[in-house]
Amino acid sequence: MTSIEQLFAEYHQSLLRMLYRRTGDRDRAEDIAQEVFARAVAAPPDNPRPWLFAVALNLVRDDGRRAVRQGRRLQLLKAETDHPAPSPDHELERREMAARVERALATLREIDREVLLLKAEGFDYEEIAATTGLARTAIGTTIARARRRLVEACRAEEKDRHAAS
Amino acid sequence: MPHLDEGQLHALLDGELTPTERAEAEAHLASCAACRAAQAEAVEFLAEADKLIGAIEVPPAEGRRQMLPKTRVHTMRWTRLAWAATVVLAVGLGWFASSARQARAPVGATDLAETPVTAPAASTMADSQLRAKAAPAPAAEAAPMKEEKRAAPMVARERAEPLAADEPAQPAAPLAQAPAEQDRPAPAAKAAESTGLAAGNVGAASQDALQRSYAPAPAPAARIAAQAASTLRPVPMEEAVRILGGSIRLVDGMTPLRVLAGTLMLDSGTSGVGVRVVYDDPPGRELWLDQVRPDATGNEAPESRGEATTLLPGDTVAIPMNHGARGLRWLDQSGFRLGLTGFLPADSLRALARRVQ
Repeated sequence: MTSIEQLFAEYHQSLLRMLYRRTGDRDRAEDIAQEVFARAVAAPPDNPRPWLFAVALNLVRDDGRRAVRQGRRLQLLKAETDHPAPSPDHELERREMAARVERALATLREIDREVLLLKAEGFDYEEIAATTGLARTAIGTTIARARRRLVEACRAEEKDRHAAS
Repeated sequence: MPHLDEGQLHALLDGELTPTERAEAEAHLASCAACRAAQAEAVEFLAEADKLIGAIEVPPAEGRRQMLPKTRVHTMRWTRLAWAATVVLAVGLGWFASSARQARAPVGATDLAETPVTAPAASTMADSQLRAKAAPAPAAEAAPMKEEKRAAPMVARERAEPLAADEPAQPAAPLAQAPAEQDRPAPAAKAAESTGLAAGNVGAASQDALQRSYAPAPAPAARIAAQAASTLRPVPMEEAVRILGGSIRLVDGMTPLRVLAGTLMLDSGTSGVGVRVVYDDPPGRELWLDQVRPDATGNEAPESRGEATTLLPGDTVAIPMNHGARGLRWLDQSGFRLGLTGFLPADSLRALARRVQ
């Protein structure tokens, strides 16, 4: 069985990246990633990658529901994490682009978003099916729709931005 | 063959079709302009979607704790904690030595002088704080103790310099399974008899030994600190169970690294003889579960008694600590004071606390 250290070394960065893309909040992403690995300690998974990402996505959904009730926790973390830094123009542009994509992602259906983010982490269709619970045969259609909707949402926002400026 | 749908086109581009499916799809594309156009559009969507998602990068973790400390960082963290522990210990012991000469107060802790020096290298801030307060403080002297703790750290640090904080930890005592039948804490009197650790059970001889042990003149400060560090000593699981009166709480699904026993402080001002079970968290840092049975608490500083007594079963109090550590304190249904401390986010600590059984 893979040790927890190996799991952490192998999957933590990828998991954190997926979680950050999903939540747009690094601290929340880190907290959830930590919780995922804490659970992996308690119940070491046989098929770790789909297991870790499935638990993470479940926690994101749960965390979203709990977040409103846990203002105190968020406040506590905020004190630790506020570190604004002036950004050069290209960094600002990159952030704006990232924010646009996050907004576009937010318009997608949950399952579309998850499938896209898992694919971006190198998951094959089999693993995406195992992680999300979708049928293997439905992955192609879901991912095609998700890609199209993401691109269209971004294009629409870009168009609105140009129209407004 | 009918036209390829969008899902098939993306599956083809993603390399997810079987060889047969792929051959069929490519054959169809060779003869169908509409599907080739759809494929070109799919290529565009795929590339653009990947690019868009790739634009969201995880920002650097400036100003936040490291998620996975490397071994060196790990060692440095504990080294710093060990140093900090010696500082506070030296101060606390200085106070104790002076107060012990003045008053024969009832002793409410373990017989430290008789305990072998087996201090683990991974002493913690929590250890140091509780050890600084472990000495029995009569109510009238509680305030002077606090003042001295604040006033003396620089002196204490100088004295503590010779201590080798990187000393390898003593091997943990062999762990044994807690007897399954021992679910209930034993009555206080019986537990006190069997362990000799309960408050008020240390006799005059032990007090003398304490005074000898902590007299500053004959012993260098470093040695004094090292002796005090032995307040928490490795014990076999059976002894830990006995100290707790017949039952021990463990984090379900985690394997204890070692079990320590001694005086613990679980909320400010309240200490008691209890057990610390030390674990490794996923990133390899230590976390520890402290537990003190209901009848083993004492040494409450007067100003904090209110806080200690307002903790009700089911309450959980989160306590931010130094060096990025966090602590959770709660009272379980049996009245045991429990504390889980580590370098995990509060949510993770809470999740682990829910597994304490």
